[in-house]
Order: sequence, then C-alpha cells, then structure tokens
Amino acid sequence: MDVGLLSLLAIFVPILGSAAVPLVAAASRRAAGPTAVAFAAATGVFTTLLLFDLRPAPVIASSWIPTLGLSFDVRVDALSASVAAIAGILGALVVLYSTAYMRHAAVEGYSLPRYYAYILLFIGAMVGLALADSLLAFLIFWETVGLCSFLLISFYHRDPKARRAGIKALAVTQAGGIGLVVAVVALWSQHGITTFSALLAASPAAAALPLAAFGVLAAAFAKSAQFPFHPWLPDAMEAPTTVSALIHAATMVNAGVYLVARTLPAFSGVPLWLETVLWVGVASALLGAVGALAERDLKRVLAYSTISQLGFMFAAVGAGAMFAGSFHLLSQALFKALLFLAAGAVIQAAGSRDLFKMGGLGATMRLTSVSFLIGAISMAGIPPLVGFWSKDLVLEGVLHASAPAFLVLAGVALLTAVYALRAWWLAFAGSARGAAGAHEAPLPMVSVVAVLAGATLLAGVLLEPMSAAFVRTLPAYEVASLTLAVALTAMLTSSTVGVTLAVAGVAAYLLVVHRARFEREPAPDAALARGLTRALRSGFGLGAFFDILVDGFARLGRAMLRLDTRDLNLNSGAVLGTLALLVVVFSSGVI
Amino acid sequence: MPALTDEFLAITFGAALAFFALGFFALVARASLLRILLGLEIMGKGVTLALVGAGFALGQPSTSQAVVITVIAIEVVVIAIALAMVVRWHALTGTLKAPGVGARRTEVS
Repeated sequence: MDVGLLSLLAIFVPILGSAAVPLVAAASRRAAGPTAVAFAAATGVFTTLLLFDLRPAPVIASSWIPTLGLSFDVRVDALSASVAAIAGILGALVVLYSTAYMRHAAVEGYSLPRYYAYILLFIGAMVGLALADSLLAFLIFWETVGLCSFLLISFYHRDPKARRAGIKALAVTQAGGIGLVVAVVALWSQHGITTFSALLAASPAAAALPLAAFGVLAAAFAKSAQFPFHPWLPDAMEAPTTVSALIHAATMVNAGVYLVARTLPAFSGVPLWLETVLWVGVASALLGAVGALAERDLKRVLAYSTISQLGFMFAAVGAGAMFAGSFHLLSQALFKALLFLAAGAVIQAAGSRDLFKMGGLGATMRLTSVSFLIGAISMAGIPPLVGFWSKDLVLEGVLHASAPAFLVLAGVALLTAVYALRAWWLAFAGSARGAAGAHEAPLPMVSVVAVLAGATLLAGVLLEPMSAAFVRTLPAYEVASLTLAVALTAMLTSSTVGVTLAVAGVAAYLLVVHRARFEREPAPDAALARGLTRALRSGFGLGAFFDILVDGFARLGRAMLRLDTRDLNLNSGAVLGTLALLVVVFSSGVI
Repeated sequence: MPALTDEFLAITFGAALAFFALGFFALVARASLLRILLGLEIMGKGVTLALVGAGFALGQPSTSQAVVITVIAIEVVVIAIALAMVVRWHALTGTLKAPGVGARRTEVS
C-alpha cells in the first residue's frame, strides 16, 4: 500500500474511531468497548505495517492548504515510525485491558464511550505527531495530545483532585507549549520554514534558530515532565491507571523526547543547547529517582520513575547519542506499560494505592507478581532484559560527552535498582498488611500484562534491526551501526560494565540480605524524614510555583476587578480613553 | 485595494488591542458565565480585527479574509458549545456563577 495513504489511515482511523464510538454506543451501550478495541487494533496494524516501509525522505500525503503553500507531509523514517508504532501497538493493548479494567467506572456512573473516544483521539493525535513533517500539522497534533491528557487525567470529574490535576497538567504543558508556537511562527515568518525537512536543511547561521531551539526545548521539557516542569506528572496519577499507562508509555511524555531527537541535527550548533538538554536530563533523572524512593503511593513511585527514565533519554540525546535515547524510549515504553498495567491489577485487588497497605500479594496474584518483577528488573537495567541494553547504551553515550554527567547517571542507575525492587517487594512479597481476599485479575488484563512481560524479556533483540533502520533512514543524525555483539563488546570494555555489576550487586543484596528494611514504615516523628518527604512531594517548592500559575487567573481577575468603577459612564469612558490613547501612540510612530 | 494611511492602521490595531483588553477583563474578572463568554467573544473580535489590519498592511487582503472567515466560523461553533454547557450548568446548579470562583467576586446576574 502507498505509504502516504497508510500514514493517513494510521492517523485518522483512531480519530474517526473517537467520533464513531459514542455513535455506536448510542445504538448499543455494550458495543462501545469492542468497537474501540477494533479501531485501536486497526491503528496498531497500520503503524506496524509502516515499520516495513521506512524511507528517509518525507512523502506528500495530501495537498491540505495549497494557497498557503502548505501540504500535509508525512515522514516515515525509523525514528518517527518507531514512536508511532509504540503509540499504536501499546495503545491497542491499553484499550483491550480497559475493557475489563474500566467496568467499575461504568458502575460509578462515568461514561465509558466518552473514555474510549478520548483514548482513541489521544492515540491518533500521538501517531499524527510522530509522522507529521509539516510543522503546523505537528503543532495541531501536539496541542491535541495536550487536550486529551487534560480530558483523561480529570476523567473522574466528580473528584476535585482529579479536576485540579487535569488543569495543572494542561496549564503546565501549555505554558511550555507557547515556546513551540513561538518557534514555529519564528521559523515560518523569518525563513519560510514550514517542515521538519526544511528545518534540518536550514543554514546553521539562520537568525531565528536560537529562539526556535530554546522555544522547542521549553515545550519538550514541559510535555515530558522534565525539571522544572515535572510536578504535573505525579499529580496526574489521579487518572485511571490505564490512562497513566498510556501517558507514560505510549503517548504524551514520549512526544517531548521525540521532538528534541527529531530537531537535534538542526539545533545542535546553537550554543548551550546540547548542554541544556544533557544537564536538565541528568537533573531530572536524579530528582525522579529520589522522588520514587520517598513515595508510598505505588502509582506515584512509577510516575517519578518515568521522570527519571525520561531524564536518561534527554541526557542521551544531549550527549549526541540519539539512537541510545530512542532505544531507551522503546525500552521504557515496554516496561512502563507493563509496570502500570500490573499496578492497575494490584490496586484493584488491594483496594488501595498505598504500598504499606499491600504486601504478600504474590501468593494470590502469581502472574502479575512475576510480570511486575520482570518490569522492575528491566527498569533497574539487569541483563538480558531490554532495560539493560538501552540503559547501557545511554550511559556509554553520556560517558563520551561528559564524565561528571556519567557519574551522576551511574549513581541514579543504582537508585533505580533500589526503588524498583522496593516497590515490588512492598506490593508482592513480605507480610500481608491488608487486602484480604485479593485474587488474580480478569483474563483481558492478565493476558495484556503477560504479553508485555514477554516483550520486555525479549525486546533486546530489536537492538540490531532498529539500529540498522536508523542508519539507513536517518542520514543526518550520525547514528553508528550496532550489532548485539558489537554493543556487548563495547559495554564489556567500557566502564558501564561496572555500573551494571554494581546494579546487579545492589539488587541481589537488597533482595537477599536487606529486604526486611523495606517494610519498615517511616517513623511519623522522624523530623528529617518528614521534612525530606515534604520537600520531595512539593517538588522542591516548584509545585507551589505551578499552583501560582494555575491560580494565577483567579488572582489576576480579583486584581483587575479593582479597575471596575461600578459606574457605566466612567467604565465606558475608560475604554474609549484607552482606545484613543492607543491610536495616538500607534500613529505617532513610537511602536 | 484602498490606499492605506498610517492612521488607518493605527485605528485598526488600537481598536484590536482595546477589544482584546476589554474581553480579557471580562474573562478573568467576571463571575457570571455569560459575561465570561461575552468577554471571550470580544477578545476574539480583537484578534479578528488585528488579522484584517495585518492583511492590509502586508498587501495580502485575500489571505487575511480567508483566515478571518475561518475564525468567525470556528467562533460560532465554540460559542454554541460553550452556551450549551452554560445551559447545562444552569440546569444543574440553578446559577450562572462560574464554578471555583472565590467569594470576593461580586455581582452575579
């Protein structure tokens, strides 16, 4: 099939599906779930087919707005097709899982057709964002992804915490998103650049490049919850767990990494740009890992771990190791989807998200327990799981660029092993601290979790074909060809092998010798522990910063109300006076 | 195309800014949902006027006309959906006061 048509199908079939599901549901309420699964599965198939038709140059899929010289170009190279396939395939698995998981929501009076419609729009927008070559189309999909995240995070709309978390996510990502709007407008008006291809071909001396580079960066950091924009992501845990899995693995947070990786060759010449990407990534990796250690809410542990893993990706891209970052994106997507969907089963069984109210669930939920453990040790980076390959590639790439950054990330890799195993131990092993009568999740949920566990075990073999595809279709990105043997030799002969050994050692030590420590609840009167936890929870004061952003409009409104004289004549006079003043200022040529 | 003077553009952009500021005031400082929507509309009119002025200033009136017609069409849809939500809100709560607005806001119609 023509690759342009196939791309359009991959983008617009789920978007059409989001309109179709409520219509189908109006005829038959029970058909909503199967319809959504069908549309999501079709998207998964289309994005998978795209993987077999990669090409380095963009393709015109539709002429779109010819009067403005804008066409709807798609770019199906290894980078965009892999991000699209992650969104399509994991999206389909999440929708399948939802058919069992979201039953309780219907009982509580939340509309499932609405849920499926948002999810399908989310997946379609993410696929579109990955495939679009036109900057304007990219911007539209980018904002659609942001809108869907808001709608889904506050899906339980009767809960004020969920509403507030949704508004926070929207406000933070949109505030950063202004940077992307500035970048697109500057590139278009100054240099006539309307596509990524033109941007990559632009002269490094182009005047608007620094503004565009840092505008793009602000948008990417906000979308991917990197420091200092990170506090929205843990709060977004008020969403249904399926939505969390989607945001953390398939859509949303991947968009920021993808945007920076995509624009890397164009912006790498801008002074301080690469260094900013590298160090913001390193800082976020550290911050996320410490946050994950301090949390007692299972979902928030996973949220902080995502911030940390995304930090690894940004650090890799900032070090110029674009392939390492992209491979870690794939790897993180697999094990994070696995961890969240397993966590969903656990939370439903335990009836709580608090790790200290779980424990011992491995006895009754054996498959979920094993799957979660596979995800956790993959995240820790223990061979031969996919997380080992990607994390070592990242560490190796960063080592070539900056030794201090490598040292911090190596430390974070150790913390990763600790927090990942702590979460597993507290939920599944040790003594049962509640949750009597927990039982294994229903079949659609268990089967999706098992599929993801298998993928996490085996996806390391994708390293070779994926690297070959990157070399073939991304000539501008200086990707070196890799085989498993070459990668393994490089790892064994560089100091990253030390990190892997240390991680494995820490993991073994914790599990065999020190495991009882995990279960010790932090003493309520320990001032230091309490202070540290509070600082972490508030995002080191940055949470308050975003509360100011969210509450800003209400405060601004109250301040502006003082301008109201409560007299119609005076108010109208003020408006007309302002108009006259503006006209005088403009016509005098001051501006 | 009519000959443009600086005064023409000054009035256009001045009015655009004034409309935008007035609409923004209503959007953030009023508690009544209807007034907030009116503010949104007035802000939109300011933007539309700025687009008209920009089209004339850059010598591309047909492009700006096309964009302005599109903006007007979209605004109609937006306001229709917003009004539907206001009607629903009134049916649910019996008031037109915006939710989550502090007590210090006054005069709700």
